Amino acid sequence: MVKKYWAIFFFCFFSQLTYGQVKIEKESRVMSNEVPEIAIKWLEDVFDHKKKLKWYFEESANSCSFEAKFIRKGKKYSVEFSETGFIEDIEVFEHWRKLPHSVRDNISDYMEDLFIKSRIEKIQIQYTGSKEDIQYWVQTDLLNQMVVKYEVEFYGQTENSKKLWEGLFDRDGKVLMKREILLSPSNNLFY
Amino acid sequence: MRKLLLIFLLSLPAHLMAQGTVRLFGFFPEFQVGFKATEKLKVIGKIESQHGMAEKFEGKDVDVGYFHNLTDFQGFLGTKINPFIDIAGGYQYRVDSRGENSHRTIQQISILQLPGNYKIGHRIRTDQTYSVFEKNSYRLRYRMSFELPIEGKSLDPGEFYLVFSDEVLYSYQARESGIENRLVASLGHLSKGKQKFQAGIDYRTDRFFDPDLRHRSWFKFGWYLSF
Repeated sequence: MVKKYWAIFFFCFFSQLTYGQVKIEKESRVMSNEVPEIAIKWLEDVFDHKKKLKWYFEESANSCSFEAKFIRKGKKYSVEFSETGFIEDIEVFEHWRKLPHSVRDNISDYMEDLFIKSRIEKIQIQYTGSKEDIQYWVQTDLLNQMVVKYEVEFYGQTENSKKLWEGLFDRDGKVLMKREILLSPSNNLFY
Repeated sequence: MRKLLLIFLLSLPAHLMAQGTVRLFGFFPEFQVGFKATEKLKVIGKIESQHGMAEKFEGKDVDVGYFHNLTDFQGFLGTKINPFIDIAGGYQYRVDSRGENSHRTIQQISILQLPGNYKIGHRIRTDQTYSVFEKNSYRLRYRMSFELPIEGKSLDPGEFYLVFSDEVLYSYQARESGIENRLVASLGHLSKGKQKFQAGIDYRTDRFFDPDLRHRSWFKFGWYLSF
């Protein structure tokens, strides 16, 4: 077990050295016996009726984490844990029309200001809070002290560019961050 | 991952042996390089070459031996309508082993779909082939491709993926029509320098309207470079 955490520490450290300031996320599938027990137990205690549970190890420029992906009551969940197994946040896929009116209005206004044409591709609602708050939210659907953000993938067209974007919006739908999504080359599929 | 690669490579001969009516088997390397000439203009160059290793005609023994079948040199100019739609026009010069070299003009529209963690590619292509040895040939083609990551929820540099595609071609030459089908299954690897490597089987069936249906199986391996 100690050896495994050293390997993860080394991997995270090495990732920082090689990736520098470039925003890169890379994940790989892992088996549940490679995930910290504390994360597995927390997930078992909090979420019932999980379907198609899969674990991933995710590394970015600044951190490494474990991620559980599953379907529950027809919704896709992504639960992120620190590399030591503590809950960090939960993301849930959601349809545009299920978002609160005020959030939709603010996101729409933002896109209309920036683009002459835009289209929402994918939405995930991000829930962050203490493990007690998250557990309370899962059981009662009450947000309490939880922080809610919206991660939105969208297509935006300006006079000069047509690109895919990922935007992070706060609980009112005000933009916090926007970055371009770069797709891997598809020439092998088309030529 | 190594186990998966080994199973894939070992299953190739079994796949070929299972084709009771294989008429032609060979190797099909291809190399492709693409770069942005301007913000809107993309240039693609491609060389692909078919090298036969075995041929069998109905009622005759298998003729095993190397022969060069053809080599194609292709160039395309393309532009993006948006992140999901590309249009391109191209030219091909074919060096044929029988000396019947030909010229081809190509037009295509390609559409990318991202329904989840995988890609779906649609390609609609028309081409016209000109040769002094044969009447002009005109083709309409549609190819659907799937690119599936196998090491995570998305395809990242350093990871393997699978590609499956099927293409249906309708051809018209000298008042005669023909249909061809091309099925491809490959294992690919995306390297850190935006390079892709693929190896797999390209199984082609044609002459559906003729008495001698033709099957061709190629071991195809490709190197795709993007700048």
